[in-house]
Amino acid sequence: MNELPYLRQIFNKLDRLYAERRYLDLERCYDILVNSIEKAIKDRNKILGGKSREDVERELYSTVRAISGVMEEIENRGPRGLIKRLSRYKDVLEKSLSRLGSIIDRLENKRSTLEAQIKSLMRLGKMGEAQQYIPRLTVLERNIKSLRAYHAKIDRIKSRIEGVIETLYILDELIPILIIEDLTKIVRDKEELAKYLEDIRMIKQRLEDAENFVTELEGVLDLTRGVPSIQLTDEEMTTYRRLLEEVLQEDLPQTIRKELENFKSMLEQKEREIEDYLRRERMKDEYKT
Amino acid sequence: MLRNTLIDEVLKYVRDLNAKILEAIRNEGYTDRVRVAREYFVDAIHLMLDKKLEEAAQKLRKARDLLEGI
Repeated sequence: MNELPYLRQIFNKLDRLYAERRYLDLERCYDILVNSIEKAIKDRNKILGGKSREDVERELYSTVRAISGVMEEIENRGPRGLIKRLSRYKDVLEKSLSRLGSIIDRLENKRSTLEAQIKSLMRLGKMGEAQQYIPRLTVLERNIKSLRAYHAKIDRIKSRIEGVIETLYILDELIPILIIEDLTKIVRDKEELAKYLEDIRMIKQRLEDAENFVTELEGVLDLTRGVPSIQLTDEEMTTYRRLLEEVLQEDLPQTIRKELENFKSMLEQKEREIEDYLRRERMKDEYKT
Repeated sequence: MLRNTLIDEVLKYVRDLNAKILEAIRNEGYTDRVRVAREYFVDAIHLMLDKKLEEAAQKLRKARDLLEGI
């Protein structure tokens, strides 16, 4: 049997994704794939003028590629897409922190050499000469202080991103429940619904914290724009500018804010549905007693 | 003629089996049973592309029996 590995892979991936998401778009992907397979089998098995194995494989492969694109788009929807983007941003920040750390170390070395030089001149009684180096030392100290503050801000953002990603993972686990229309018609167990309600409220609270993170992120991006007033050598400035370009992802806060709003409205809708159902059930119980 | 009938029958099996696998995923998630049924399904497609229709039909039957709990 001649194996087409991509066919097995695409079905496994589709099945796994369908188990998690159950989107209608995925059912359309299955339809397209099955139609294409049917055509390939018919073309291949024609008694007269059947196509070669290579020809049908080529056609099948182009369908698989098209479906892979749709699947990627589906995978990037919702919390997972945001998790991916934030993880990538976290990697950028990690690299930036390490490079920023090296710039600070270099400046710190320069500063201590200059300081030693000034002290030695002072010991030799060459006060006038020593005085000439003082402005350079002051600039260096100011630069180090600004860069350290910036380093601390980026470091904090990086840690906060980890918290937001964790929240999004919890939200992602709830998605199969949130996308079910009329959940209370399918799940009628009051205890189970109360548990979902608890989870929804917990996630809502955590999303509010994530919204504060967005404000903080915007603050860092604003701060980043103000930093080039630091006096650095040309080489340092080039490295630093490159670093800023990577860190400055201006659409990121907006994207996160928009996504968070979508998630929140999804959660609120389901919260209302479950609350209404539980209230009605309570009233029924009270009426019976 | 007989071969054409066999192809039509096997193709109908393919569509039905895929629908059954989706139903199983909706009901029980991505379980081992679903995974094995899908393996048979893909094996059958490969066999059909190799023009081995009888063997393919056997694989599809195996997958169907597995999903129907026979």
